[in-house]
Amino acid sequence: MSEEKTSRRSLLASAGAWGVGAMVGAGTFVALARGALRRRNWVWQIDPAKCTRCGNCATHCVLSPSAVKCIQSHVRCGYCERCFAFFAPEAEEFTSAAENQLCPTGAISRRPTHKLPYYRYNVDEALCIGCGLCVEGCERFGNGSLYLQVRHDRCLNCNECAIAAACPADAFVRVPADRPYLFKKGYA
Amino acid sequence: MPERKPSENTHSAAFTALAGTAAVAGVLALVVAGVLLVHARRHNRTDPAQSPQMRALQNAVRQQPGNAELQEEYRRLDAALREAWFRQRQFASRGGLLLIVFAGVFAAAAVGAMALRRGPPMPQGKADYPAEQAQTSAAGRWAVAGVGVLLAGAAVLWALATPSMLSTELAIDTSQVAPGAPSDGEGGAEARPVGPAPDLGNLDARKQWPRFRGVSGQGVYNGQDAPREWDGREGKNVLWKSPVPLGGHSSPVVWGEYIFVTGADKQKRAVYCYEASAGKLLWTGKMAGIPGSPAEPPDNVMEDTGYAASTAATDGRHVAAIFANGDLACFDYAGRRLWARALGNPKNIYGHATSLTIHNGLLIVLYDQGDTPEEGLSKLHAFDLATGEEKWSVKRPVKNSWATPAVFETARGPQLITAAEPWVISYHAATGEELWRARAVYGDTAPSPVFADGKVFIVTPDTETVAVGVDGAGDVTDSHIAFRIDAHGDIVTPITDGERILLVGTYGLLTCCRVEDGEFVWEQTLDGTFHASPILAGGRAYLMSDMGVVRVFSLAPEFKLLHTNELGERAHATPAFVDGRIYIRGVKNLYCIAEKDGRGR
Amino acid sequence: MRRLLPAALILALLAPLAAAQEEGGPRYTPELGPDYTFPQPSAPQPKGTSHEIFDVLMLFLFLVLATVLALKVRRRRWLPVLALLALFYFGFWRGGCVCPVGSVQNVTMGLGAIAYAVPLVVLAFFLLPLVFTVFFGRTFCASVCPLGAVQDVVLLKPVRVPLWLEHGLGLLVWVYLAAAVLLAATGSAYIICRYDPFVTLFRLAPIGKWAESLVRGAEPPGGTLAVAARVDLLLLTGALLVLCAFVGRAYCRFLCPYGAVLRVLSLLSKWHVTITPDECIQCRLCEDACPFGAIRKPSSGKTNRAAGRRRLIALIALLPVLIGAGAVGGYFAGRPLSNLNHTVRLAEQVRLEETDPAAGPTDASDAFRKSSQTRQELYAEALDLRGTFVVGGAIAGGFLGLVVGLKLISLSVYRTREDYVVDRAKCLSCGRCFEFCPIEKKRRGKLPAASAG
Repeated sequence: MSEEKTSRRSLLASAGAWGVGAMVGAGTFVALARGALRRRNWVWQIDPAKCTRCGNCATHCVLSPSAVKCIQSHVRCGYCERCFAFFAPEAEEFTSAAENQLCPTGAISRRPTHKLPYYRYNVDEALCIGCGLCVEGCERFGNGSLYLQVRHDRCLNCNECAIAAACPADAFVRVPADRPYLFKKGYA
Repeated sequence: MPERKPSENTHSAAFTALAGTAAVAGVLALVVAGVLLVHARRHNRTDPAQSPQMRALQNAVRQQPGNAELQEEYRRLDAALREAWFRQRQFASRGGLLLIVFAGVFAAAAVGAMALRRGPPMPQGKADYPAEQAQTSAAGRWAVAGVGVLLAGAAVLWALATPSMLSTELAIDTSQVAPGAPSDGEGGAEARPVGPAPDLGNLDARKQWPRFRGVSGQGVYNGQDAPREWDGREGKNVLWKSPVPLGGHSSPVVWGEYIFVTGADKQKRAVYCYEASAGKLLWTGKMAGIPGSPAEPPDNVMEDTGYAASTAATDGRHVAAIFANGDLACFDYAGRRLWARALGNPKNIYGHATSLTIHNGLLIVLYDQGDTPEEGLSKLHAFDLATGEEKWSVKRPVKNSWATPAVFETARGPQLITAAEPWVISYHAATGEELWRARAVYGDTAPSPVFADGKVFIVTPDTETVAVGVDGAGDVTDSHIAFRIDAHGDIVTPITDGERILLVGTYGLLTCCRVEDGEFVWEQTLDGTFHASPILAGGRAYLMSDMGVVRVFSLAPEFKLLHTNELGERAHATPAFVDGRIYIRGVKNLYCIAEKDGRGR
Repeated sequence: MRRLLPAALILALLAPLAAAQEEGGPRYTPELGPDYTFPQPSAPQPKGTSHEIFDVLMLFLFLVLATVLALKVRRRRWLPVLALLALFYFGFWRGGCVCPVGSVQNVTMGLGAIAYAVPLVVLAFFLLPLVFTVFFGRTFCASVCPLGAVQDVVLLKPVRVPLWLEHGLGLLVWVYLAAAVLLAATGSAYIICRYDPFVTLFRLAPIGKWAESLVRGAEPPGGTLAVAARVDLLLLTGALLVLCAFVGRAYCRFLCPYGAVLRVLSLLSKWHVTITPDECIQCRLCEDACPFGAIRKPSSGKTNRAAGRRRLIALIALLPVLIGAGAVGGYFAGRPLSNLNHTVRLAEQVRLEETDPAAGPTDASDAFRKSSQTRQELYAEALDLRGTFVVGGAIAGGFLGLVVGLKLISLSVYRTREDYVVDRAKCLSCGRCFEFCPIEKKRRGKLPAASAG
């Protein structure tokens, strides 16, 4: 009796295995046809057009400081003496004293260029926490040259990005890993 | 090895060592975990800039600019906090590693100790397999069934506990309703409504604009979010603008996401339905083929009145409209005509203009005609809104009039107060029973009655304004006229905020008086001619001139012009205010004004 | 969190400028001269394909080793070592992401209507353990899965879960799987990742980054880990681990959605782990061998066949009813489940603000108002999504009803079994039972020589 059972079971097992194999093969084919071969992997990125600078990037990343950093587009920057991202709105003097700066970690540095009154503003990524205060100032009153992007030397590329889940503007998108940034273009 | 008894193992050196290591590592792990937790509680999510100490110092520095000491202190604190923030992160990560190491050691040692302690298997007694299996299977079945029932119950409870604000009619699938033929309102290829008609009857009527001058007919918008500034020429704060195929002076009425305007010329009449988000024309209600409809258009219709001067009325399920030739029809929200009647061409020297009112499923139609009250042509009708069946009608001893009555809730019930030479008559809105009348109005009555402080204010054009108490019975001419104001309007209906009443003359004379006793407060003259009635919104008055210029001003304590807004088009119809938006019907287009970033968007 | 710039002063000063530009030109155009070169933004690239291919190879290698050790070599000794290595590599080094358990969601999303192509690596992570399981049983679970390895490490004193309770709780994995698939197919959320109790453990220290920096001899680019950001999840992890100290592999047996699939496939496997390949003598020494309750006792003898048959027929007849009831339950659950979708939540919030003047605007509704989508379109989209959820929920519910029905039926079918055998669905191929069987020891020649007398 046990022999009958084992042979019946092995028949079922083979049939089942073939069936599953067929399904797996079909599924793989479908996935490949949909471009799995062309896609290396997806990584997360912020669409600057959708970002509303809510501040979640600094608080929701599983990393701290966040993998989201502010980057500066020098072609878009206005090089303003009174930069709305650098200076807090209540700043009385336009110096880089701590009480005049908008950035809570002092990550933006200001240096005069060869031509006054133009100043160059750079973001120190080691200090930036991705809070977006400077982005808001630049977006509202400046040229919009400062914006938040996910930095891929830091990002763990979680399958479910915690910031993406919390983004009120749904600004997080998956981009192919070979083109991982959504840089703003310069003005024509 | 099977021979050794379990207890012996527990005294071996190996066991003691492992157990000891486990205990130590476990305690250390707990300590580290505790420290990390406390640390996390205190330092998580703190912006260096958010600490209260920083804030206080920041304020101090701002208040005393130039105080070098304060600045130094601020900068030192700022630097210290920033450094601390980054150090805390590092602490957390190092602590995490330590936790893992200790936890790992604990786990390894504990598992080893337990393995040593565990003796060989000692099966007890004789097993009764069949009974065991039967019992296990039975219990298993109950467990599976129980879990299944619990899951299903939880699903239902979860669904009931999370109510949804979205209802299917919100997503009007405009592709299903064929767009109304833009050219004519009768004959030809018609809009074919498909599917059940939307039923928005359960929306709060007080938040809609269902008849001329709003739900109460008083021209008051209760929200605080009415747009203040716009410019129709530049498109500033104009959410959309849609052409209305047939013109008319009727005002737009709004319920939910539906806007209705009527239009007509000498031969054609139509009701247009637009949707609020983008101003798409959803359907055109046709007015053709009404039995008894006059073959000829009415004569004496002034250009200032037009053939579609009466504003429609709606209750969330039906929309009713009446035109200059007495054609009256009711549509559902999908554009199907439910019923229609022809009241016949009125004998009206300027053209019929009285708008419709709905009260508790009753469509109230005031149809005043005749040059003198003695002709006895004027009537007040009440039709069942859903079926068109006439519920009651009352003859009125008045001559033709153009004011629109409104229903006022009073101690004596809902009073429908009408004004036409020579009587101001109040009817019970549900039954048509006459409650009181007062001989208090003369001339060509166009301004509609307004209600404040227990009195109704009736304007005799170019003469005076009379305040009549509403708690009388029978002929109250001698008893209930509270006072007369020597100020008046002509065509425009007044507005009142309960304390002041604003009277507007056609050529721009604004008079503001006290409601309590009629005392004059202020007077102002504005440029322009005025036919549209003003609206009170957020404590400000909005008054539109015939050129489409809306002036926003305050009533109290004095006239103060706040904004002047251009439309870019002539407009005569009183605007509708709903949900943070203003709908203005110009001579050619319907505009939707909404402030960018305001609630109306 | 709303950041409001106190900008009244600035606005007043700069109103003309602020009003000017939308898209089309900068507000401020600096004249820096023709010699000025604009620096380009740096674009650090993510880890390359080589890493990913290496991971797949490692997974394959681990699976092969686990299978060989469990089925061919049949020694428990090396399997825990393999498990610890897997824990270190896949868990702590790679941060436990992407794992086969989560890959179910990616594959679902890839097959759904969302524009998402499953990367080859993720597909491999999904398929490799399945393929091995369908032939050799759940060798992945014991020695390759890092989540399982963590639970094994903390297993102190396994408590026997009564069999009937196991049957009941076994339904939960299907619920988790159904919910995860539905949410992934609609692109709403990856709940397996969001509520993963182990990934927070793996991320407690960036061991991978530190190891890499040691290898490279340079500082890691920063990014210490925010333990505190998920305190609630860490407490959950702690609680689960305490549970797993006594209930062996509680996550694997009662929660793992991938395990649900593996269970079914393992039933079909031809070469599954057995306690011994030789004859069982019913010595009962292996009864308490399995901490995971995967050993089935013999069950021969007389039973009330008539009653049993009646019950079986009743349950088979009840099956469509159960599927229907499940579909109804799933239909109900679809609506609140849809609130996990961003668009649906947004539409609810916007509608709430429309109807209730006291409801304050949130960041999300503010962002919506700034976008070009009309409320009509938003409502239409949200209602459409909700419709998908409700239908999907009904299907999932019906499927769960089917599972319940089949389970009830299988519990009414009495199989006669004379030997102690492994439950092919539940056995994780960990090899603990090998050490308990005297026939196995005899086969290996490990029994002590019979003492004389």
